[in-house]
Amino acid sequence: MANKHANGGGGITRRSLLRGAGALTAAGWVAGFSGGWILRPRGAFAAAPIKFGVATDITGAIAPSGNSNWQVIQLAVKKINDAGGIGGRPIELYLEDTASDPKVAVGNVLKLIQQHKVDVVVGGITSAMREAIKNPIVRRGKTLYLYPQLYEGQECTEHLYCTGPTPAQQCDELIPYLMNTHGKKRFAMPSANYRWPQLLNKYARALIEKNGGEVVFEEYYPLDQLEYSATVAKIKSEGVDCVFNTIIPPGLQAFTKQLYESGFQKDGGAHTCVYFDENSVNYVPERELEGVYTCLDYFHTVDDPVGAQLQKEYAEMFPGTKYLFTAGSAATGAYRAVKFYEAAVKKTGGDLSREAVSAAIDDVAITDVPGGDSRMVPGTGHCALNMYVAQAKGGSYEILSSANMVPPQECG
Amino acid sequence: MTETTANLADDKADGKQRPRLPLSVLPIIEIAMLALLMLYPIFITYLTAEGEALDFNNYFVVRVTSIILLAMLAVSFDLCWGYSGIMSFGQALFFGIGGYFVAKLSEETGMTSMLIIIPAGMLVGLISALLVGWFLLISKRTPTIIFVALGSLTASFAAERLVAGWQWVGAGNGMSIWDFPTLFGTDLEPGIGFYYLAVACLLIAYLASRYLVRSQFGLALAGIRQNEDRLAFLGYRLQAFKLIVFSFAGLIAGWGGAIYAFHEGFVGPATVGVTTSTYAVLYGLFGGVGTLIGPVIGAGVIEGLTVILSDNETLKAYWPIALGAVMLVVVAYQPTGLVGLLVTQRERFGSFGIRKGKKSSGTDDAGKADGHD
Amino acid sequence: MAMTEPLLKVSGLGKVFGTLRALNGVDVAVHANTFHGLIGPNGSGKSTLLKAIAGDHFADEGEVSFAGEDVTTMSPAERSRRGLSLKFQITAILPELTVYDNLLLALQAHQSMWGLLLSRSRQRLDADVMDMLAQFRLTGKAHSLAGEMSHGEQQWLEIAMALALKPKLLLLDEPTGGMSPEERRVTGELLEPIRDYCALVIVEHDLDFIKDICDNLTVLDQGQVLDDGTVAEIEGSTKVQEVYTTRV
Repeated sequence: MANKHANGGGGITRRSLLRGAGALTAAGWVAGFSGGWILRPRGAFAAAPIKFGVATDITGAIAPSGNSNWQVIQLAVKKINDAGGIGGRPIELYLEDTASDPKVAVGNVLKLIQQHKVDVVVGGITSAMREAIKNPIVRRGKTLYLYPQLYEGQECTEHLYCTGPTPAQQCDELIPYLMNTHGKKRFAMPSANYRWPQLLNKYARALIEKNGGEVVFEEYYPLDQLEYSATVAKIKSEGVDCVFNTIIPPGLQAFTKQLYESGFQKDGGAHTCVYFDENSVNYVPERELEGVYTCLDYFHTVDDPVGAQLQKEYAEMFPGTKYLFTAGSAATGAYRAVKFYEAAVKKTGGDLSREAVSAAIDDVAITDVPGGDSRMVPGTGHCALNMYVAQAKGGSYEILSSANMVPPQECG
Repeated sequence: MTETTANLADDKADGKQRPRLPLSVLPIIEIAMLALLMLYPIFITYLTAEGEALDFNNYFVVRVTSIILLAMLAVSFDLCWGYSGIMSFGQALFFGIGGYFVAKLSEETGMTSMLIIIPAGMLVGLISALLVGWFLLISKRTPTIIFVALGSLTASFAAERLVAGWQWVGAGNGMSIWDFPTLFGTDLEPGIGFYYLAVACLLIAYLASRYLVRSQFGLALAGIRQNEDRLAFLGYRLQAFKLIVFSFAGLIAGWGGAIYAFHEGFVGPATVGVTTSTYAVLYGLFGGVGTLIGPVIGAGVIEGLTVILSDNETLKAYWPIALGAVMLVVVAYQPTGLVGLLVTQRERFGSFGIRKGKKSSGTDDAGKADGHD
Repeated sequence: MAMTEPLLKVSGLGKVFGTLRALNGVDVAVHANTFHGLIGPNGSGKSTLLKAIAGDHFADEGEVSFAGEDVTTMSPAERSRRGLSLKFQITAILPELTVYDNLLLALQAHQSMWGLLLSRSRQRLDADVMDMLAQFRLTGKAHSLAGEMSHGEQQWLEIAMALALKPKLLLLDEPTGGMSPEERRVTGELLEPIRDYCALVIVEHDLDFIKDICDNLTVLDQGQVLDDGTVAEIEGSTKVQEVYTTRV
């Protein structure tokens, strides 16, 4: 498999077959065919390729985020390959669909590790997915794993690096902003029943109470619950002025609809959801998003020339795509993951062994990433990020406040 | 479940005389499957080597190991439905409980030895089946098949919801089993060693089940299958028989589930749930219930095709529909499953005395009394 | 009249199905080693009575006493264990098993669970199976599937199975139904030897058959006992003759 290049154009027939799988288009790439998706760069390269594995949700409830991750990674890798690869070695991409289903994912990830023998895996979006696939990747697969999504923290597994925001990074700016600038005091926490909401809520609660506020109720619902009238009624009757929402799809859509229809936002209530971004219109109608507060590592409206340029290139590579390059869907984390990996391999001088790359990536900084520079905090497996508090206004996000190089405060 | 005598006319074209096919096809199929399982890793490693060094711990070996463990679940289903008239739509409950139990045990005590995992899985499978079986199968009037089917389905469903909401066992995330299981001190990673361990477990469970269904106890089961009431009048305690088989089936399911959890490194609500339970039924019906080897073949074919087809983007989307269609066809037109194409009804029911027929039964495994393997 | 205690004593038996009163105040006494017939027109409750004795139905009133024990509320399996055996009207052999296996199934019924799991009695019972096959003239059919035999042969197998565990009382519900005259004759021959160890209660339509083999008869009409006594007495009974000539 070393330097074989399949013919260009073979991908068109396969692409046209993928009506159901959404935008797996890859302009400028060449498609291979055994097992998942393999993209090999065109052109001649001197050295053996680096095999980059992607395990993300192309289908299922989390598909909107998964597809944007996949496309963004393609952009990042193409730019690297166009510039000559990493130390002259091109990157080959291998995709396996984790299908928003941890049980299925475990088997598919096995293919990446055992059959394709990739050198690194980026992927997983929900924490449930990360929990399921980290074992096959890190322990059984003995492979480096980069997890790109905002999450609940406390992931201190060796050789697992998180490139998305942590609770500290998301809440340290957002909560005080809501409480001090907008006077919100009575919080409700409707949550999906799994670890991320539980730990995030714990962190947020401490901050809320420290700033003199109150958590009126904190409730957990099964992921597929679609009935929230009792919750919304409680929000109104208890005089909640800020809803700190951690419900995820498929229940999310039902909740935001029922919250919106109750007139909560019209009456001045604040709705905040820390994973909402420009991609959220793929999940939830725009009118229900209007006015929502969020805090992420990047928005299209951030004054950031690198980000703006990348958006342009992304739009050229995937014209008309509905999967946007945003932060809440882990796409920025995914982009960062590729750049961190590139920086680490440059540092090891081409040594792809896990020990070497892991040691290198542990203490490395990157530029040329959306939202501003980032650097890994050594010994923690997490990175410092610029964080922006923003509010949804007519389909885009208005930046209200920001902070640079916010520390992740994990595993230290 | 009463078999009609209509099939007999088909099987024996010329009445009571020598049938055209040798009667004992089942042992041939069983031996063929065993040979296939034993040789597969070697065969597949050579096939996929592609000029590089031989790696016996490759992807194809690991993938099939999972299927072998699922085949234990299939066998446990067959014991219930194929032999005892118990339509268990919740076998995954015991499979998954085995997995959860050893996952939690490992998390709390750090134990990873296979010598504990296997008995623990068996024990928790046995006990939970005993409890569920007591509730479903024991009552003054014999419970109907529908009642047992719905009851077991409900149990599996309820278990899935329960663990999905219970943080102590990982709730919706399920539980990741970080450590590899150990055997006599050394780590047993997924690969060829694990593969042969799985084959050994399946083989032992299979042989034990085979012994059971060919013993005099098995004769009673054959009678229960055909006409329960008749056996009650003969003095058989029907419910005791059913509970014993159900508990034994639970033991096998728990055993398989415990090893499966350690092989996959993960156990989640789906493992105890309705989807997995339904797959157990599919393996059985597709392969052919009442034969023990049928469900093993069924599991192999269905899971194998799922893996192969998942590589092909177009087919992957349509595979579940295709699977459903195939199931409908099998249930409507070939209720005895794949194995039923080769094995006569008579052989499925078997023979239980110490003497086998000479002229009227055709050729035979000469000299081998039933029940001793 | 015999002075010894009857083996089977039915007293004041009543059975109601919804609004239909099938049996009313029925008394029957059957002594050991005798053959007792139950006859009567259609719908007289013969089968119902037999089933109440067997445990297939439970009586609503009255008592069934067997070998001195009150078995009125016992399940069929429990009655079977005490030596009361029933042969169904509809053939209930196991059609997918061989004749040999059918008999083995009957003969092993009282083995312990462990014994069955370990197949402890398989060897020993072989002789018993072959004996019964011989006794019921089925040796040649030993390895044929029970479902493939003629109707008559299936009935004999059924009777053999009912007798397998040496019950003290055998209940036969229309054993000659559907048989040819020759088969009927053979049935009578097969039943005669069991008198040595087993009593018989037999429900039949074929009056000739009944008169041939039975010692005593009970005649039922519309759920009540019309008359009972020895065969000779009943043959001479005017009450009975009336019923048989005026009713269908």
